Amino acid sequence: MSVLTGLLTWVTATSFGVGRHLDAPSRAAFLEGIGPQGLRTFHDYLRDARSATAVYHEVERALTGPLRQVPLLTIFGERNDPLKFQPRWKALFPEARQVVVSKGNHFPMCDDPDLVATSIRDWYRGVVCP
Amino acid sequence: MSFVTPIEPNTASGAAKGLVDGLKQRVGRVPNMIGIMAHSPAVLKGYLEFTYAIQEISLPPLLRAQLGVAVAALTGSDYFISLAESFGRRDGLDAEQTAAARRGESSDPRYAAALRFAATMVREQGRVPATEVEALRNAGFGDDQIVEIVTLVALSVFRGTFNLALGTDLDAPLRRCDPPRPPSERPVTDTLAELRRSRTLLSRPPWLPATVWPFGTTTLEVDGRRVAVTDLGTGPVLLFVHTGFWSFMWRDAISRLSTEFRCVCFDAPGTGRSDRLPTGGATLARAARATEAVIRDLDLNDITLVVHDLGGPSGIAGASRTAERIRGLCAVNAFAWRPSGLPFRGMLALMGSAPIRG
Repeated sequence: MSVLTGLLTWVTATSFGVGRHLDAPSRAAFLEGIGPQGLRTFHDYLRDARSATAVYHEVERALTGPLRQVPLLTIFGERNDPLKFQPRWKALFPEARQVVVSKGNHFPMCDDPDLVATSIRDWYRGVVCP
Repeated sequence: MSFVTPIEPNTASGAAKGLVDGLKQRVGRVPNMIGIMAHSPAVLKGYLEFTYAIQEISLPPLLRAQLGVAVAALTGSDYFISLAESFGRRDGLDAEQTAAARRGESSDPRYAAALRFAATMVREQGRVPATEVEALRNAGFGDDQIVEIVTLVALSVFRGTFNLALGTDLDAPLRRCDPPRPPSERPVTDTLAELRRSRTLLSRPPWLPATVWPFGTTTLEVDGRRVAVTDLGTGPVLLFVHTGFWSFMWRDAISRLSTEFRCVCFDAPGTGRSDRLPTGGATLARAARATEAVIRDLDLNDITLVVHDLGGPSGIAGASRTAERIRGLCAVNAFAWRPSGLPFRGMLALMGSAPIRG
């Protein structure tokens, strides 16, 4: 149980979390929407992510096939790319636009929604549909 | 085959190269008309600079689009018809307005006057009676706008005859796209309004007051269970896919973006307000099926896919089943490849392990 509590704290309140910019009612709603069974489901998804071979094949076929020329934008929190996903995206899509959210963590759309919205809007107007 | 072969971006040289490369970078492709013009860098430069410059004119975009479609139809150039109608879609012409413009008609009386003038100008090869110019004034157009109308018609005739003369091949399906616009200029289409009216709203739980989640949420069924879908705003489609927690994390971003985009997000099976799954039932394959179902059920087109975390693999796999509908991809702290390497697999193992699952 302490592990569970610790995780919820981590998810919602720490610098990593969704909730650090939310007011109390919003944070409470976010947690209610997860709930005990939702939390098990969350872990199930993560566990499946190690072994979902068919899904990864499908994604690889798409990114090297029909989707290889779509414009790509990446948005990452400054403090949360320990596994170096950004250079990997750039290698797949050399023309990618890459935005880093200052002081952002795993949920940059919560850390700085203005910057995320502006980045998507500008990229859409400038690159996806100029 | 066109009578002059378009120059490909990688073979352009000299002054044309920068122009062609710039266009490729911005638009993602080089239309055949531009590739043909690139044989003469001076022509290409003049054409592009002129077309960019007159985007500043005061005529409303819808009127410009209707003039383009109307004159294209009169020139009979399949290439320019296709181009003008794709510009029209981009600028917000619906199918009915496009069909009317092809006949030189518009439901707006002012626009209709401009279209009649355009038709006379094209048919009479510019020898327009003074009374027709007066008719434009009577319809409320100032001299500045009359000059703009005449210029747009002349430019359209240029586009039509240029492509007729050189037999320009149609571009491989012109990318359909729709620019974001402020709500005042953007009609909510009847079909979208109808679709939204026809859906039953998921009842709002006491823990989710409208002050906290100010959007209506509906459901659709995937693998026999309900998936909660939130769909708001009009404009080009942004489809947000996260897998793990739930849509709440998109709230502040979609609040900002839904003024210009149609924003769609959903709670992956078993999460948020979607029906719960038995332990062990949540897989990326299931989340991918949900992504596919949302796209098909809402009939989303010209989609920009925004994925987060495990929404990378599940969202891209699901969306790839209708790959022709995807226009752009935005990865927010996301990956889209098999986890390899000890840190990556270790992190997933830890987060997915029994002790931490509680």
